[in-house]
Amino acid sequence: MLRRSFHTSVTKKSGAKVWSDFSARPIALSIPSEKVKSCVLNGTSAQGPPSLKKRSSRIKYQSPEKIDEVFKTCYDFLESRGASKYAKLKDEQNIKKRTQLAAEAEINNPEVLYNFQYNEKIENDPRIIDYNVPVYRYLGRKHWESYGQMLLMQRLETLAVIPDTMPTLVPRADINIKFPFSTGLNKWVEPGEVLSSNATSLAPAIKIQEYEDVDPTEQLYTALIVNPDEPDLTTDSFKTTLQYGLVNLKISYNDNILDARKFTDDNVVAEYLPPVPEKNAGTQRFAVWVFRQSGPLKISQKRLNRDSFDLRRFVHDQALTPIGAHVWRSQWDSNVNNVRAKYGMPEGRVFHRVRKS
Amino acid sequence: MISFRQAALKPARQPVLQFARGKRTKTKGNLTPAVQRVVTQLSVMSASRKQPKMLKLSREDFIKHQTIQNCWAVHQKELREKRSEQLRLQYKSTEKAMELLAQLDPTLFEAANASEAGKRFPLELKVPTEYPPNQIWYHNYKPKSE
Amino acid sequence: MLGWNRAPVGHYVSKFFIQVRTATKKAAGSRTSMKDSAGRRLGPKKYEGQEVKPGEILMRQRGTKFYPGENVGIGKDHTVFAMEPGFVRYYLDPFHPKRKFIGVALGSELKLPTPHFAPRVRRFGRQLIENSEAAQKEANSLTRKQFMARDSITAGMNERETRRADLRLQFAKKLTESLQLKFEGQSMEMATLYLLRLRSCLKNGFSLLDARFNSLHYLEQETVLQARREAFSQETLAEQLQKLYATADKINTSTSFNNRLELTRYYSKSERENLKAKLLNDLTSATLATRKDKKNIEKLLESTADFLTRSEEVQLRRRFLKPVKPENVSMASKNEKKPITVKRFNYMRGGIDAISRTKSAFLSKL
Repeated sequence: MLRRSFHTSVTKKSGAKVWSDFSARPIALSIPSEKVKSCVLNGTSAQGPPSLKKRSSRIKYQSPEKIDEVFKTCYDFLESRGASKYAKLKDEQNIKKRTQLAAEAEINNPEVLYNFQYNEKIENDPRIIDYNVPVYRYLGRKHWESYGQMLLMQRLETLAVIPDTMPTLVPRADINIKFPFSTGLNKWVEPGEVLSSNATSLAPAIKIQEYEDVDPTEQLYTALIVNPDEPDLTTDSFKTTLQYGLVNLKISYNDNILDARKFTDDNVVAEYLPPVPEKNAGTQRFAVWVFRQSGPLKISQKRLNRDSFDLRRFVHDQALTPIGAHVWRSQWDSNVNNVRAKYGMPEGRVFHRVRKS
Repeated sequence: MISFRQAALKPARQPVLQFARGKRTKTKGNLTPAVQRVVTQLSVMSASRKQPKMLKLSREDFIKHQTIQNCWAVHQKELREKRSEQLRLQYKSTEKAMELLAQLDPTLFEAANASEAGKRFPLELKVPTEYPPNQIWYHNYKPKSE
Repeated sequence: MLGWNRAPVGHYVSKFFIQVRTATKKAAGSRTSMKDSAGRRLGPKKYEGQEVKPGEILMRQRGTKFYPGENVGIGKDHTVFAMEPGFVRYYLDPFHPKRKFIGVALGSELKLPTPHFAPRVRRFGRQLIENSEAAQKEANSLTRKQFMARDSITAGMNERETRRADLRLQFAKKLTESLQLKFEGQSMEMATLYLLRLRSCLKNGFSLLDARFNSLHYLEQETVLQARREAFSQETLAEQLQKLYATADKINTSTSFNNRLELTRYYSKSERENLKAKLLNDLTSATLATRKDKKNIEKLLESTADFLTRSEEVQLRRRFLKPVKPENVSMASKNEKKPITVKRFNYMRGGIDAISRTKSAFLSKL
């Protein structure tokens, strides 16, 4: 029989204040605003909750009855459970279990919940959401899995990026792209969006958010952008071209937006070529693939066949592990000619409007 | 506002009943027509619309609420685990005892394992009590003569 | 038909005729039997391995007895038809074990279904327009929707372009006249372009560092691409880039954008802090009792856009220029001349309160 109340003795398991002693804890585990923190932990003051900005709404607002008293008991209870997890963590040797225990010890901490729920998760402030801390990685992964990951997989499958470029993908890292240099636009691209040729005329910034346990000082990454829809008239089919290639990239859990500040010319194996679809050649997909490397790569730019690129063979030869992908689409528009002129490309071909059999 | 409500809820004075053809003689309680209308309208509305609005909690209170729920879930989980652990141990010890019995006395083991299909209520389960008594009714009871 | 019901001979003969009425009219059939139609000629129209062209019907059917597989479509009456030229294949797909499929393989040697993880076999199917005039015509052709939208889009583009040109002129004027920075010719052009980019990045919500990097990177890329187009030598390119970096650096250290995105002189972080502290000090020491005080405070808050953020500015204005003072100050005493009385319903008491206040409680009445 499950009881409907609990005995006061259950909270008094161990008196260790593991969540409130910040001498050896990362600062991100605490709510930055002193007012909000005291409202959560010590109860709402007479002025009302500080998250309500207008004074009139603070006056109107009424907290549920007895919530502060019940919260106090529950906080003690959960903190004691957290303390027992930390005690277990001390003796644990297995790294995977250590991360899990560290996440479990903090998962019910109301301060952590507050920080994660009400702050920016993609462009995170490491003083509030610090992905070096296992619990934030855990929460981040859960948040990503609840929507972003599903959306990505749906777009990859319906647009047939898998299996046209790679056989399949087991997503492990969150990939986001942005084109801040070409137009100065500050927006993360949704997978599958059709972008104008002007927006994509300069290389994107790629964000690789790892949620798994990796060693950021050692782990290297490869990021490739391929276009599997380049018309190939000799075979009356399509070929894959390599639009952009970066290797031996190093990222950390928090600082992981790849732009020219993060790599040098040595990392670039294929300079960025902008999407320039030809008239009546249809919509082209541009797949961003991110891989973990098993070691540093040595690739000469000249030996890489960019024009008809075999992604599967490349991945096999270099022993890469795909961890994430992204896709955007491009169509012919009236600006394509300008982009071609800018990059010194020849004028685009023009195809018949009607497909012939 | 308060005074208005009191006036509305005051029962109407009982009218003198005068028979008239086609006029309703049965009143639905003794409420004024205005209140009666409100009652009817409320009875037509579905239950979900009559419920109070969903609580709008401030961020801090929402986190407190979540913490309370988490706490309750953790507590229930602990109880569940404790109980299932106890059941597991009970089962294990019963099994051990039965194995021992099978070694010591196979006939007793057979008897203990005999099928009890069809037995609605095994008498062995009845705990001896004082009540109800074995003799339910004293048929030849006679009151003590004075 | 009337007739006799004969009794067997040798037995007694009946004294009566027994009259029986039999059917005289042919029975009408049941209600539904007259509705048969001619056969609908269903069934396969093309068989395994047969060569087909796009649009050719492969199967007529009621319901989806066969599902459309690769390169095959299905009509509203479930007719299965080819969408690509190729060879008909009837096949089963392990991903849908209960379905039968009809597909069209693009080559005679290809089998269907294509393995699940293998890339799709696709046909491009479009032909190049060889005639250059026709190609030009096709390239310039627009859909109706694009055609209708073209004028407004071009007008908008031109307007933005002129606005940008105006801004650049303003920047150039500001740089030379009030900031006394000696940019000339190409470096002035670089500087104004850089500032334009920086402004738009800041407007789009990038942090200052990111905005600076984005603007510089944009100009750098433009230079590199120009060098490639015009076949610059390595030295010229390096020189150009050096010039760009120097210009950007000079701008970063000698100009800032204020919170209204106007170009101002450079304010360092410590300078901003100092100015802010001084302003706060001035404001807290100031009293608000007369019209002169009000003007004084307004003057203090006037030129704060350079070193305060927008929200700080608004907050300070709200804090120090309250339209109505709180009710713990400037309440009218009994012998006040011409108090301003506000009537207000008191929900706790259930009556109307009259609140008299001095003139100084209201900012507009000072």
